[in-house]
Amino acid sequence: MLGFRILLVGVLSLAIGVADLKLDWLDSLKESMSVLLVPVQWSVQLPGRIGDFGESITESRSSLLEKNASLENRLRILQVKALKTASLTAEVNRLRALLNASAFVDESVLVAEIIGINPDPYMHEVMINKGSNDGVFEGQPLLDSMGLMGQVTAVTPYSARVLLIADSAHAIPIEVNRNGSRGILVGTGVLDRLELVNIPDTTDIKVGDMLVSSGLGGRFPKGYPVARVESVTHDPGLPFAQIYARPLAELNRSKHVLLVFKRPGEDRALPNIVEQQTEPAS
Amino acid sequence: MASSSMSYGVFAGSLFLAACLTIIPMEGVAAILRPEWIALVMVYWTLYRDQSVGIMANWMVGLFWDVLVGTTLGLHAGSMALQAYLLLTMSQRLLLFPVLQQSVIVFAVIGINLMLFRWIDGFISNPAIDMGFLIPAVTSALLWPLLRFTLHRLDN
Repeated sequence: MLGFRILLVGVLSLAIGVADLKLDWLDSLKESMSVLLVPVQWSVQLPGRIGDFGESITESRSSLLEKNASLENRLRILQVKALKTASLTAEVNRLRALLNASAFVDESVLVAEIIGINPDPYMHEVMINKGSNDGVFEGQPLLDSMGLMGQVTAVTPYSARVLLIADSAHAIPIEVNRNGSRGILVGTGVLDRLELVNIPDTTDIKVGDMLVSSGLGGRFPKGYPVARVESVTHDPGLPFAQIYARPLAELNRSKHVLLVFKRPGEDRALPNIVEQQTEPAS
Repeated sequence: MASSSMSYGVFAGSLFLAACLTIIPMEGVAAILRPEWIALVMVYWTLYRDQSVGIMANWMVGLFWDVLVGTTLGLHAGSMALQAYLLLTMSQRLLLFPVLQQSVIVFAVIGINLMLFRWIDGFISNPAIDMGFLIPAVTSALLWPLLRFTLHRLDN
């Protein structure tokens, strides 16, 4: 009896596993099960929330004023930078129009909060508090204020699971900001170490180079900073250079993160840009 | 050993708590040492309430575990079912063992559960790089006497 049952359950697990990996029949089942598990998620966050609340009501007036002042200063600096960016973007778009390329897409973002991390020490995954109800979709890129963090791999109505760029199952197409050399940046399973794979020894990449997302592959938007090259080793015995980089995003510290949405009507066609170009130019 | 009827409130409560402890964020050594709470709690219920908690119940719990931590559906479910099978085949003897001897069995059973999980998960995503994934089985076994005592008190 026991033997029969374990056999049945084993076959069932196998079937479900294969169905889950290869087909999407089970997504609705998973979704409804995850809704049942919301109380668990919620109670795990509870201590943190109480702590935040306690902090927010006991914070002193002077420290708030201080914080406010420093934030205002930062805002001013960023505003000035943003002013510059706007004119630069317009210029770049004009130049791209001359090159017959499509314009940079304006992206909008949604702020989310990290509410959990995968308990498995072999995986680098986090949970965020925004889900399909907020328009989050699978494959969506996630940033923090420093750089690219990862991509959404599973969505439920109230939360989503994000695979970080440091996970050994993750890879992202990048280019070197300095000269545009392309490459694939692969996670190593260690949070502060990414590997740039299959780069010939002769490619011009130096320690300190900034790597930005190249937009190839169509998953990540172009031009977001990802990592900084930390070590380059040329070993004559190996076919490729060994290049390691450190992610710019604070993968183990960020609490607030940004989800990137492409605006509807992405990849604006050329005529639009030409119009745009003529306006300021005249 | 156990008294007449099983307390479903305690059953649900213990699983809820185990689920919370499974996903509560931890860092460094604590994350590596984290016991397999859900598996451990289910060892108790499978041993002492085998009338109500059998392979199927273990399998369902494993399925929810999969959804909770986002592993491929059926992974934890299958390994939990195997754990239940192992326990049930020797439950008659296990119930008579002193608690420390039970701990050794708990280590073996949870270890086998973890090995099956890591083996199949290795095909899908992350192959284990060392035997470190068995550490939770050790900490689970160390916690077994305390857990058995607590659940006995609450359940009876």
